[in-house]
Amino acid sequence: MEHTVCHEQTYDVLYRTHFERLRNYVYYKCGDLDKAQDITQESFIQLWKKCADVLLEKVTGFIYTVANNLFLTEVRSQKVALKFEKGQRERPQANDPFFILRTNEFRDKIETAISDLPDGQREVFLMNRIDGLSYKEIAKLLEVSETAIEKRMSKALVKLRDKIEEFKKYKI
Amino acid sequence: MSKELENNELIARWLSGDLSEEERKQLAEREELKDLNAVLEDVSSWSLPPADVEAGLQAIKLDHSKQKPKTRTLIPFLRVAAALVLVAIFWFAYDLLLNPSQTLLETTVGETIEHELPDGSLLTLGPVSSATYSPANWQTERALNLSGKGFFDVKAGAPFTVITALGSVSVLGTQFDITEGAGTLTVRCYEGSVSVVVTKTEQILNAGEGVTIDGSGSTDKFTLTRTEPGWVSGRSVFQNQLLSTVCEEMTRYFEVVIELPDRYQEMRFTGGFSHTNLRQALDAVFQPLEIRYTISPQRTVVFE
Repeated sequence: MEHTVCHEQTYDVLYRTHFERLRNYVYYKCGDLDKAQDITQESFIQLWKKCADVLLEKVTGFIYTVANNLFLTEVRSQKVALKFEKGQRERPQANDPFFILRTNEFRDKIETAISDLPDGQREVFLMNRIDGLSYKEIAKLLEVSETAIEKRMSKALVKLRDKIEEFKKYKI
Repeated sequence: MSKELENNELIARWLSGDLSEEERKQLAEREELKDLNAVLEDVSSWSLPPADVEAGLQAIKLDHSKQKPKTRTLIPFLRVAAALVLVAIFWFAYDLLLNPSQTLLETTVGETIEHELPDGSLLTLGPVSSATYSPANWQTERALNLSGKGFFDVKAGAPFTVITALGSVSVLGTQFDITEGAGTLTVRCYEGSVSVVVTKTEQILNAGEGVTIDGSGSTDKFTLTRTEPGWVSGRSVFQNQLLSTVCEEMTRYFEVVIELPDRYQEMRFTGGFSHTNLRQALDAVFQPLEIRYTISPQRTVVFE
């Protein structure tokens, strides 16, 4: 009993470990924090209901799949506009070689460029950047190969690089 | 330039620090990667509001107390029976391991999956489609059964064959896309060349060419305008295709029934629709053709 999901302490640990990351993942997909919160909560309720059927090592696969399905049926058609808390930076110095890249205006543009990435690329990119997950960890959560993750990441990075160069040109 | 960075996922490995010495030297020169790195570091410092995990957990606990999962106490006889069942299951699983059978991939409406085949070739399976292959025999014979849609990025090597109800497609290392259903087979070749065999007649497609074949054997060759099928990135695109084919494609992505009258069946459509919104998709197809439609509450599209 101790090592099944139905064991209450085990379930609590799973919830505390995975809740925020899963919520972030759903947010990257839909761009609505409340919705992401609800979908994540619902996924964990499903996990509890099915706790006798879900093996401990399959838990992440289960909750990510449930959350993804809920996202597909409930929200998918909306265009996403993600917003992040960016913290206060010290005033950018004009002699900083990356001066332009540090302005708030530029950061907003990057935020929009990220929002405009296709779902698959956006979620992988942000899971890596914001949640600090390795490609391998992302591959495991989404149940695809590491190569598939690297492919999506490559596409996202090339697009951002192109955007950065484009913004810089426009600036000058 | 971009192509080069995407090749072998170079840029992704650049970020994760998983580069060879040579690759590292080659990329160290690039100014634009320094910019990108500065931006990426900045993005890593961004965050989302923390989730109130404890409150969420409490909310679930309230639900728990109402409906605890059933714990079963087995009477002794049942225990023996359960043990026997377990033995049977293990034996079955063991047997399965020794004789690995077919791998089955299946998708439902609106779902696509990326799947890596044993040799590293990639299959993107479109919605309402299925594919089967035998992992054990993959080394000796790269063959796969497909019904529905699939996009293939094939590693060079032994011949790679996709068998569909209507005919088979074989290649040596290339990228191609297949749509099969409603008695027609459409193949688009994006890289390399492929051979399409339907009832013993062979068609060779080179990069940038596509062909539509129907059950009666009539073939229609066309030139591609894109470098990757649109549906992989969320759009379906058509060049002078039958309206009935377009409608069938739409039902792959949306839970909808389209009652296309006979008089429209033979019309041709050139254009595309996005997979995000049903109404927009319908407008994208029917407005240019000046066909009026309504959607009933039962998600059926009816025509005047």
